[in-house]
Amino acid sequence: MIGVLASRLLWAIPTMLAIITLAFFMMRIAPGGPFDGERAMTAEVKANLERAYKLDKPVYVQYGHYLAGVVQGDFGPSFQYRDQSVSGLIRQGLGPSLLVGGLAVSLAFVMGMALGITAATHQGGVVDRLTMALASLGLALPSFVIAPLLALAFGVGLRLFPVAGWGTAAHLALPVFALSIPYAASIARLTRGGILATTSAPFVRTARAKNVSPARILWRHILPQAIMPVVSYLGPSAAGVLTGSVVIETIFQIPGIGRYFVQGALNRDFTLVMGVVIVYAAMIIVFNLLVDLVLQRLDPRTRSTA
Amino acid sequence: MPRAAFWIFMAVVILCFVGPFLLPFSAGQMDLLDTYAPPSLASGHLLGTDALGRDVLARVLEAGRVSLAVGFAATLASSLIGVFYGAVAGYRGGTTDQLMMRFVDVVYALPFMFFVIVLMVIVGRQVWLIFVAIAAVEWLTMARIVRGQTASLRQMDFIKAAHAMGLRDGVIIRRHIVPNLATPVVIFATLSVPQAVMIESFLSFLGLGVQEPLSSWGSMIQQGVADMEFAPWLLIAPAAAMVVTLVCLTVLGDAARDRLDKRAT
Repeated sequence: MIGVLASRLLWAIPTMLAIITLAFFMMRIAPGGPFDGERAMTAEVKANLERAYKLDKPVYVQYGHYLAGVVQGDFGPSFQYRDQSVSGLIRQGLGPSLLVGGLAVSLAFVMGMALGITAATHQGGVVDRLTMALASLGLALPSFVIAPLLALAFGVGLRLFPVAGWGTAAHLALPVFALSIPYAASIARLTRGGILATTSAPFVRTARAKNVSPARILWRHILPQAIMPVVSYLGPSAAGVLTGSVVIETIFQIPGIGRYFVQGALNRDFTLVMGVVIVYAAMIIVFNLLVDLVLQRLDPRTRSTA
Repeated sequence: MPRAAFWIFMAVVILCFVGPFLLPFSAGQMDLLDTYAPPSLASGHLLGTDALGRDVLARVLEAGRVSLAVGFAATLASSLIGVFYGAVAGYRGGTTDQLMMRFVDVVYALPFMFFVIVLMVIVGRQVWLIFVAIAAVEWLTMARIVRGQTASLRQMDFIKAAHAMGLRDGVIIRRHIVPNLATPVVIFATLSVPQAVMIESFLSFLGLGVQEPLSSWGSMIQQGVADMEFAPWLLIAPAAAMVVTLVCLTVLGDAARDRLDKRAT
């Protein structure tokens, strides 16, 4: 297990390096500098600015400098927010983003499992069909359609929750729910499928023959097996959660890194966009690693025999 | 279900492309004395007006043209790339195949939306670049499917016969392989149209997609969110259009896939 972890971590290094390099050069080949859009400035001022941000050096020097900075957790100064560093901005935004994202994934897991179990235990009935139709709807609609409609219904219409903003627990309700919907839908489908596939397995029939109660069969025999596809789905879904959080943070005006990302993209703030991409990539790698570890614990076949 | 979805979707397409000619207002026609008018029959603004007094119904239909056109064009582009790439990899086999598909695997694992956004930042916001960005994301799955089909087609007698007759590889791929890929390609293309529509609207929603005076459902939803507290129709109209379209396309795609699965088994 330690070996697997070590080799995975080792693989993460070239992956991260590739992403950083790609991000750096994609940004450098961009036509138009970050200072082009503003009021015309004299050549002198521009030269000074470029010197201050090291834009006058050859590209490979910039690259080396950037890489050395990233390793130490320094993504350079932000082009747009003049007096702040990108690392500082990301540190500010990381808390709200992780809070909303973490809560959304947990909620999706709970809602999805509950719906999936309900559907599977009522297989073929009205409840089953209704749940699965809802799940299809949740999967077909993107978050930038669902989230505004939720805000309109529960925020503007019913006035149950604040429409946007940040600060109190009530502010969390709509963004967390909106972000969790597509994942809850996927998890519900996977849970239902997993349970139905396991119900006909020989060990379940044996348990039934031994007169084990249906509840115990479900929780102790079927679910540990049926949960595997759900857990392996969580890994690749991390990228989707992050994409969703960009939209959710924009709609609900949450001061997270997703909003900095969009702001940076709109303002051509190269260092900020690169910094967020690198942080996102690192988060995806770490999350996939965690999922693999959990999968290994769950599946006896992948446990080492030693 | 699929039949109903097909006809509803056709109705949406016809409304978007023909509807604007039948309305008394054009999408760009402003009326600064009649901004934020709620939907009403009397004024003729069936879905109300926006911040500049433009008719929302006309705008939704015009935006639908953009969303649907981008969706179909991007699917076409990504299908062409995917079919060509997959057919070459599957037909060549061996090391070429291994290398080409390994590349697909690597690109597949990247968090794509972010690279699309970075791409849009770099190259600027132009409509044709949205096609490129979407095609760059969508061709991968098509390449995988086509590669698998081609690899099994390659073993068929008629391909061996073509080979024995001395036909060049390019001709065999074009004349014998590609026509036999039609069914899975068409089905997968059906599935990727809603994806393409979604990606375009996602970019436009963030302000990185189509720019004024053009608008798509995504950019209309973005504007609708800003004004939803006092003019909810600005959000409901484009969102409803998007919901209907995506649900129909998804139902159609699922039905097409079921049909393919049945044929395969």
